[in-house]
This record gives sequence, C-alpha cells and structure tokens, in this order.
Amino acid sequence: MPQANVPCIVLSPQPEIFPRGGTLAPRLDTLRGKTIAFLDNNKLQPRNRYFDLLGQLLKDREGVKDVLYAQKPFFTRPAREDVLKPLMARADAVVTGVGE
Amino acid sequence: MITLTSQEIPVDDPMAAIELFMDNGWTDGLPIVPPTPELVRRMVGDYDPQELLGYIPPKYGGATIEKLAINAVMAGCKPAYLPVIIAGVKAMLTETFNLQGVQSTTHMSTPTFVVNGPIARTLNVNSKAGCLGSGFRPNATMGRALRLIMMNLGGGIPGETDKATFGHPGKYAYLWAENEEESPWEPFHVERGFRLEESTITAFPCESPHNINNHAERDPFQILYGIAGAMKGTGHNNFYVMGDTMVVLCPEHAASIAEQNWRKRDVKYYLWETARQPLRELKYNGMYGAEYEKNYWPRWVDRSNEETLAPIVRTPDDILVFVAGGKGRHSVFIPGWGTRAVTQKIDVV
Repeated sequence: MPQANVPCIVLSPQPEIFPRGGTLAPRLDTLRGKTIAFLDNNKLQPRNRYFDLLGQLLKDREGVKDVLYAQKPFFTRPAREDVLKPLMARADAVVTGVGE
Repeated sequence: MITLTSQEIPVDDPMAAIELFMDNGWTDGLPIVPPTPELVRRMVGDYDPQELLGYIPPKYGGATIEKLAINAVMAGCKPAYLPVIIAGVKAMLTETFNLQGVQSTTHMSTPTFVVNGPIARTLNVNSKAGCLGSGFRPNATMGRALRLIMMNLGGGIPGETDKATFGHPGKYAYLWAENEEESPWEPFHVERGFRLEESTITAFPCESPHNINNHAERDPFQILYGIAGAMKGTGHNNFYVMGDTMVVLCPEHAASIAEQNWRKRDVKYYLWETARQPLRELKYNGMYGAEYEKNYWPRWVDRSNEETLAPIVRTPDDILVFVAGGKGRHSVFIPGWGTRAVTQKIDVV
C-alpha cells in the first residue's frame, strides 16, 4: 500500500484501447426516400405492432420509402449473420438497441 | 522493469485516490486499493502487460493484462489470483457467453464464477461453509475484480448501460469453488472433459441463490423432489428462455443421494423429469403472456394442449450440478439468465 499522507501516482482503470474500425456508421442527412430497418430483440408483444406503427409514422411524417423488419431468434443471444445480412444489403439505416 | 502504459494520475495521498475513484464512478461503491504502478507491476508479474484478451462490451474497452491487473489491485487481489481473473475474462468474452446481453439486460443476472481443480485449493478459494457469502479474501476479491472489469472496461454501469431493474448482491462478488473433496461424484470440470489435475473457471449468468432446506429426508427421491419444487417456481427465466440452470447440492444431501448409488446423471434426469410446469401455469408469466406459444420450449412441447408439461431446460445436461457448502442440509437452486455456462481452463505462467 502507498504511504498515508504522501503524494502518489495511481493508474487509470479505464480502457485506453478500442477495436479498430469500431466507428459509428455515417449518419443519414435525411430520412426522406430512405429504407429503414428495425431489428427487434424478440421480446415485444404482440409481435410487430409497435414496429408497424413506428414504420407507418416514419413513412407518413418523414417520407421514409420503405421499412424492413427483422427479429433476433432469442433476446438472450446475438443476432446471427443470416438475420443481419439482408438488413445490411437493403437498409440505409438499422435501428437496434440495448434492453427494451 | 515492466513497462506500463496506462494514464498516470497524481493524487495528494491514498485517501484522495479513493475519493477520486469514487467521484469518477470507477468503483462498485466500495473503497478501492489505490492502483499504484508498483502494486500493478507486482500484480502483472511474468505476464506481458500489453497482451490483449479482447474487448469488453458494451463499451468495448480493450482488456489488456495491465488493465485487468489494475482492477485486480483495486479489488484487493493477491498477484497469485491473476490467472483466475484472466481465465474468467476469457470465458466471458466467448460468443456463447453473450456478455453484451448479460451487461445490458433488465434482468438481474450477473455471472457467478466457479473454480475447479487444484488451483482452488492452492489459492484457498472457499468451497465449504459460507462459500456463497462474505468473509473469504479469494472469493471476495477475485469476484470483485471481475465485476470491476465489467464496469470499468465494459462500461456496465448500473442505471446507465447496465439496465437491470434490480441487480442483486452477487454483483459485488459471486465467485466460489466446488467442494470436490466432499463430493461423491466427479468434479464439474472433469464432467466437462477437463483433466482432474487441470484447473478451470466456469462463468454462468444467473440470479442470486435460492436456499432449499431439507433436514427431514435421507431418500434421494424426497430430497430431489424438494429441490425440483423450488425449481418449479414461475417467473425465473429458465422456463421461458431455457439455457442452463444450476443446482448446488450441499455435501450432506449429496452423500445421502450417492449412498443409494445415484450418479450425478441420475440427479439431473430426476430433476429434469420433475421440475416441470403445465403450460396453463406458465402462460401468465415470462415475456409473452397470451402469446405463450412463442416461448423457447423444445419442439416436442405441445403448445396446443395447456396440460402439456414443459421442462425447466431443454435437456438433463442443461442442469449444472455442483457440490459445495459446509455442514447442514441446505442445497441451492440458482436460476440462469437463459444462456450457457462457459468453462475456461486456468493457465498459470
């Protein structure tokens, strides 16, 4: 232990290295004419209703062209590539999140 | 001389360091041991401090040996504990473990860490009386170090990225060892394919322990019937999400069961057959309510018949059976979050 009442140096426990390429995707300038996808963590009930309403709102208010919807197979497990790939191929932006 | 690269922070004295870490949210709410370069070097020992194990979600901070050592010093660990902490972090970084989900769920789950093999005895990890409670430095400080790593490198800050509605006291420290000496069966790590002389740590996201008091029975059927009764409680995740679940038998219960020539496998099968609930009971709980057919039961569970009995997990092997604890006839059920336990070999450099 460092001595009491004596100045000392301590080291930061915070991370100083982060994954390469772990930057945020470019933000969209506008939603108009874009395809927006939702990735549902498969916890909501009844299925799809919230996202149906939200998707319709985006179309009506923001001029979104198309809305895609996908579900994780389990909310306790990461989304598999076969779920993510179609979204990556077609969507301009994907809305996902942590928790519910 | 070991070269460390972490940011150096000058402080007026050790108490100022403790207050600084509190103010910055770098602790679990308890005072830390100030991680001076000298103490961190001693913790790093013969490891390469810049070795990178991976990135801890959801903040994805790099888990270098140096950063693990800093958090281990803060938690009050001895240098000899570092290999266990490294293996614990490796276990959590596997895809199977899904640390991103564990760190951010609204569920209370947190990993419990079970140490098996000779290192548990070498380090005096408590596997006997009070092993799930307080009072034992290896259990308390290694468990705490793993939690501090999840907070500081992974950003698992309660109420922020850690969305747990409640959390539970195991989020301070939740590390113990199997009581291999008093178990009538093979240790858990041997059951998982490791050699007896190897040491492992098993990380399992779960709730707090639920005690099952049974001083009355010596018969395996009766002892295990009571444990299955506790497992049948609705509301925990296993009935809806499956994954693994955990039962820790006290040595006295285990001895009574083994005296009747029951193997660990028999225990698992009995519990799997008995810890069941009809769908009519389960449909009012979990995530889906009236849409209960969505639950992740095996295909053979007939969702069209409310009297069908759903198992607590998909197979008997998904019930993880350990022996631990001291004298007394109390065993423990620990419901899982709905994912798998991961067992990692502990390597000592």
